[in-house]
Amino acid sequence: MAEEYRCPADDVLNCSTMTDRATDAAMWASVADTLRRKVLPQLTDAEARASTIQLIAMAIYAGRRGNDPQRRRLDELSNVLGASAGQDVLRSCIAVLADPYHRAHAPLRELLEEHLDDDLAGEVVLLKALENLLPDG
Amino acid sequence: MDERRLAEFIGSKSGTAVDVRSVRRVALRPTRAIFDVDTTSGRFAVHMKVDGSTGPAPDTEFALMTSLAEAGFPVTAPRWSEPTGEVLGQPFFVTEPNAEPSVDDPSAATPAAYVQTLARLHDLKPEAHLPPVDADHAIATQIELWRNVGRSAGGSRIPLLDAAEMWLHKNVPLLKRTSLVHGHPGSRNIITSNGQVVDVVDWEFAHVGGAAEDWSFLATTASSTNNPTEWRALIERETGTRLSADEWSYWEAFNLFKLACGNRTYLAQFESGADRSPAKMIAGTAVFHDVLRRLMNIVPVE
Repeated sequence: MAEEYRCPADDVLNCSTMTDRATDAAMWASVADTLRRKVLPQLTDAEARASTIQLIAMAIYAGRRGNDPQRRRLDELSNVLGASAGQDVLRSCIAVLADPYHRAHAPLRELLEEHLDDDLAGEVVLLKALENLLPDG
Repeated sequence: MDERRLAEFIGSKSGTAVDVRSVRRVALRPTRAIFDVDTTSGRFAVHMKVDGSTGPAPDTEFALMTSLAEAGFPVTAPRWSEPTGEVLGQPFFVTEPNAEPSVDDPSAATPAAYVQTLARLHDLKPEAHLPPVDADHAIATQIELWRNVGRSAGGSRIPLLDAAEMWLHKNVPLLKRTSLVHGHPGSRNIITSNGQVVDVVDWEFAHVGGAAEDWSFLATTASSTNNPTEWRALIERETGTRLSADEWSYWEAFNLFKLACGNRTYLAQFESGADRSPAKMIAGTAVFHDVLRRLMNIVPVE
């Protein structure tokens, strides 16, 4: 058995969490930071500046957004739909939304809007960039 | 784009040998790609169908622009149409470049000029410019058209968008009179110079329908120079249009539905590589969600 690697005692890095790969989050943060500090100050063309601000926002968004919530959301929708969930959950949602007398109609609409609001909360940085506002952070 | 074949086409239509100096795509919308083309015979705009898109054919848009120009309405001069797709792989038409806006616009005069120009459009006889439409089905037809635009993007279904579509169908207002409707009369599509409208562009979704659709679009999306209440007051004052609060809400929802369906196509364009700009990604995600949120604020829970 290979001997387990041990950090030198004076290593300032936290070896227990280090791998030989940079994380996606760190790389996206680097993209945003470099564009903000090195590239943007050099740009005078309005269109190039606007695109760069949007790119900074996109990098921040990509670094923060986390895993795709679709599977979890489908589970939540199935729970609300109960026996009406069927094989195709989204299609079942549409059928229930079309039936105002279905017991799941209102809670389903509420849950779908919750998902929409969650998306929007993460996308504020993108919307601000369209107004040419440089994202914070 | 095959520049040689485009040069041959323009040359055959203009009757003189033409070289294309440069081609630059300046817009990629749900159903049209617009190119700025510089040639030895001058500059032109090429309006090409987006591959796989639904909606009116370029030739229909070209015919409408031609008849509007003949009626003296301010549109970019249309030149030639190629409806077969044999030249560039997709049907397209050629116009003069859009008019340039004047930088010294007196902004106070512009909103009234927008309203007067749209009123003029609405007063034209629709059957003189587009195929006739049964008034009872005009609005439902447009809802279907936009639904198909959204679905042409592929991807998973968006149940809230379906719910909005059902509500729009269920609450279609009675259309007392049909008009020629632009469909997207935002400030970007109405070009002014010295307070006068000199060009109205982007006719791809013009149709026969209710004038209130345009009024609502103008009031809620046109520009930040006026807020919706000011726009509505101006529209009422200039045109005598009277809409109830419910009617304004319906048409606002109708226009938000159109925008949401259109924005769905932008994510597909970004993902496919047709347009990798960050603005396209933002339009297809954050703006789509923002529009859908505003739409659902109007569509009641039944």
